[in-house]
Amino acid sequence: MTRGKAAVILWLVMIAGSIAIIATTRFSADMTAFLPRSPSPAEQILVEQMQNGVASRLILIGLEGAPAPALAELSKAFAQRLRGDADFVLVNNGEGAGVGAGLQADYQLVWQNRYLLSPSVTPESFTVAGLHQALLADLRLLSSDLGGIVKRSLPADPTGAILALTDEFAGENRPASRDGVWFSRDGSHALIVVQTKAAGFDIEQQESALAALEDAFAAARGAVPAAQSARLLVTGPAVFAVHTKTEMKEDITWLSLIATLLVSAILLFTYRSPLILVLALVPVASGALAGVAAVSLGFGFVHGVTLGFGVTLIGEAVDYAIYLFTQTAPGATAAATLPRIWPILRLGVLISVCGFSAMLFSRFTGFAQLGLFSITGLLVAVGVTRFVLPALLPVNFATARSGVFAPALLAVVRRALLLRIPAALLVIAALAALALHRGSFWEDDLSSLSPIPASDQKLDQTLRGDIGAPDVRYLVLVTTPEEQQTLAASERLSAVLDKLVARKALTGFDAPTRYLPSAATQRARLAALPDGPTLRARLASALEGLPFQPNAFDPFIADVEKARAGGILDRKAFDGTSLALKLDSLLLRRDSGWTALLSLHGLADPALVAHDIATSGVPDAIFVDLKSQSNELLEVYRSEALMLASIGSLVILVLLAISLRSVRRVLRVAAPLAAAVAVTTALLTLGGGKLSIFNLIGLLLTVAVGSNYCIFFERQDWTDATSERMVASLVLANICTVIGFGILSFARLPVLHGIGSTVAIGAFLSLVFSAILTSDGGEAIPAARR
Amino acid sequence: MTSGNKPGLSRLIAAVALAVGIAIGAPTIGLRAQPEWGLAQLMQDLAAVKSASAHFVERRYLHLLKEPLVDSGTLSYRAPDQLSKITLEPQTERLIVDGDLLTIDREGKSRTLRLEDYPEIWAIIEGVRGTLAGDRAALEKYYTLKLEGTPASWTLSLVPQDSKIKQLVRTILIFGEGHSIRHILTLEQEGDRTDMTITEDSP
Repeated sequence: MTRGKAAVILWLVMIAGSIAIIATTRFSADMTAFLPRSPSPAEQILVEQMQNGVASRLILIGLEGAPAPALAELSKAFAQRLRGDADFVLVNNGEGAGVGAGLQADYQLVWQNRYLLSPSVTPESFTVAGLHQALLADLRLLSSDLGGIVKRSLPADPTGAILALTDEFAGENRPASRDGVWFSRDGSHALIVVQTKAAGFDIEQQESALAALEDAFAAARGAVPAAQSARLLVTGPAVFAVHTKTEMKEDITWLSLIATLLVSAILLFTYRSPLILVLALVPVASGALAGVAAVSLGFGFVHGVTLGFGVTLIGEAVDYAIYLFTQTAPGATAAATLPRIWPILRLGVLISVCGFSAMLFSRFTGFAQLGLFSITGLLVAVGVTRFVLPALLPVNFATARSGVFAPALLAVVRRALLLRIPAALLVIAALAALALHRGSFWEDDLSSLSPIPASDQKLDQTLRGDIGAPDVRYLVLVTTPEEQQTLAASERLSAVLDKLVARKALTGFDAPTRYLPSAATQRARLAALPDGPTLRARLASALEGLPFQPNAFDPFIADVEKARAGGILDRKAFDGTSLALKLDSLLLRRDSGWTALLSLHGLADPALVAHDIATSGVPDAIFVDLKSQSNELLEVYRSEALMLASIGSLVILVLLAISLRSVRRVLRVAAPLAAAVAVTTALLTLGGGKLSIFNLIGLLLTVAVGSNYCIFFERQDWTDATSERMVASLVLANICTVIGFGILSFARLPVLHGIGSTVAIGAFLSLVFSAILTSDGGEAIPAARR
Repeated sequence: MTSGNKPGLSRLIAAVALAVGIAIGAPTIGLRAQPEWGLAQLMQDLAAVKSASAHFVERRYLHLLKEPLVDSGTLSYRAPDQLSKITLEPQTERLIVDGDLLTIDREGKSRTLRLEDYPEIWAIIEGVRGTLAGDRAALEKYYTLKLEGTPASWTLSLVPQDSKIKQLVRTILIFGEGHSIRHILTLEQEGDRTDMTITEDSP
């Protein structure tokens, strides 16, 4: 008894410790945990951008459900409220778009710094001949239909520095405008872009920003009587993150509640004893607490998905208590039952732990967490069952009730042998279905792994298209330790790309140096500007023979002098403009230095572009095809999941071989598992369905969990009086496991849904196949095996 | 404006019909009753013209220049919203307005703008196009209208209501005879002006 007491004390200490750890644990809902930990440089940049880049802080807003003029008025009122909110650093609804549709602040910045920014500023353009050429072009422009527009800027900019820039900047897709604000082309949605102050990964802050957004919308709508029917649509990485977190929270709460209630109801129905119910749940609760605490210690945080996975532990860990309770016959004590079932229990746990261990080696933080959680949970649950429960059980404990269904179940199992031929046919049919499966087995769409529902992804795409932010497929990345070095590299790459544009290998590109040229380039442009008297003299010569008034270009001379006297631009100069947003998404400050991101569009010849970038002489410039990159990424995920599943299954086989010490016996355990995996796979891919990596992990867990039933069947001495209770305990344990994973398949997150549905089907089939294939139902001569 | 034209036009016709009906006591559209001639009647006359083509000579007087810039070419209009201005001298340039799209081809480059994105340009183009189409609603969206003269020789003045548009154009004066436009004088800021003389091609 002292040993039991010691176990109870140790158990209480562990529970208290776990609770203490959990109390200080950070919980995360960041889905990038399900991206690999050691990605390629390009992947790493993309993951960082998803977590913290400018793009992760953008929220796209659509206003719909009212006539366009009402929506425009609403957009203005809404944007005004948002601009007064410190949660948002930038609110852009297209207001202030004037001639040229440039935003006022942006235009001011570009205009004032045109001699630093414009590629047209060269020493040649400021010679007499260069100026004369420019003036001739101006004359042609003045007599054209654009004359009315350019004549205002012409006196200050005869060399057309600003025109070269607005041509560049205006080339991008721009949202349409109605009544002075941005609209979708069809006029059904008013569009607003906001940038949050909080980083994308800061989900709490993003949550409060979204709440503020909704309040501002409600208030704005209240102030615009014509827009009462208007609705708010929001999208963006932060919106997805917040929605995912909310969904995850809801799912975890509801699913674990339902699983607990169902498992409890079944236990209560079977044992008719609230005390036994409570006792059966003790290993489960202990395992869950210890699992969360272990993950917290091992990773520094606990992912929401890990908590969701806890639902499966309810179904699995309860098995051990069920084996103990059900197999304790009246008159016997739990302490007496344990030595009999402990070796099997131990092997079962060991096998499960092996299965989950494979997940520990995953490059996905998320999977590794699930693995550690389950391993700890199962070990603690079985330990509590073995050492603590007997001490807590009342004296003379026995579960008389459980025997009621047992004879009937045993009778079924004894006849299960008859099902061998149908079972074999079923497996053959499954294998045939797999062989005849048309197309790839594998889910090739990366978005299938995404926690974001397809409808939300579609809305995001629509709004993105409307706002003129099309998906970028090709990128060039270059990273150096210094900002200026990176900008210089970006300029060299831009020169290469300019040549490719001229050769029509692509239609255009965007580079950080379009907005912020390197300091060297800016200084070279300043050096190209002549001083006041020189410029005045050259201009006078250039004007000879032209019909311009002699003093027409005085503002030009003044502005050039101002530019010469001023300094060069840095990133800070862009604060408060929407160009800052653009710049920050193209020039990234990272731990390892500065990365320039050049986005390419309209690629006619990707291979040529890739070749010219590779041979550009710019060190470390990487040409990235995001589509093939994400396909490769998926390939990596899949081969990793396949490898983990294979290694996990192999280790389980080895473990079985060591403990069973007989090829025949190993086969008796492995055959039903293989059959269950084959039929489960066939069911999942029925009708052209595809396997995701979550299904693959699920298949591994099917082997890890399902093997427990097979070992019990394999080990059972069918002449023994314990057979009835053994079968009853297996069926009950299986029902609970299927409930745990089955309920998880109702989760909206693909990772939980994928694993849950696979293991639920697989675990059930494992029991059925082991009843049919493993047990000889006492028909065979038991002595032969002894 | 494609969608804005039709209701505006039908409303206009309805209003004219009503006005004429009340004044004369019978629907006598098409009958020129001298005393009733006014903006409504002019608009209706202009709206009746479904297509037209003409030659133009344009003189731009700019304060930056010592002498005016002269260019010439052809104009064509098709109801309700297609307008093209092809400059032949001194250099070829095409300006085409179709619905809310404005395309400018010059010096080998073609640019297409959406008028919605450039409200000031839209206003100026609508001043001419709205007059040709007889679309009073479109004109009054941007301008205060004033008509002087007789059906044989009239002057329609368009004064922009919006201060931003005023920065580009102070007043557009359109001189016409019957349902033909003869002359468009655009007064801009700082004494700049554009003077376009139109000679209609015989149909």
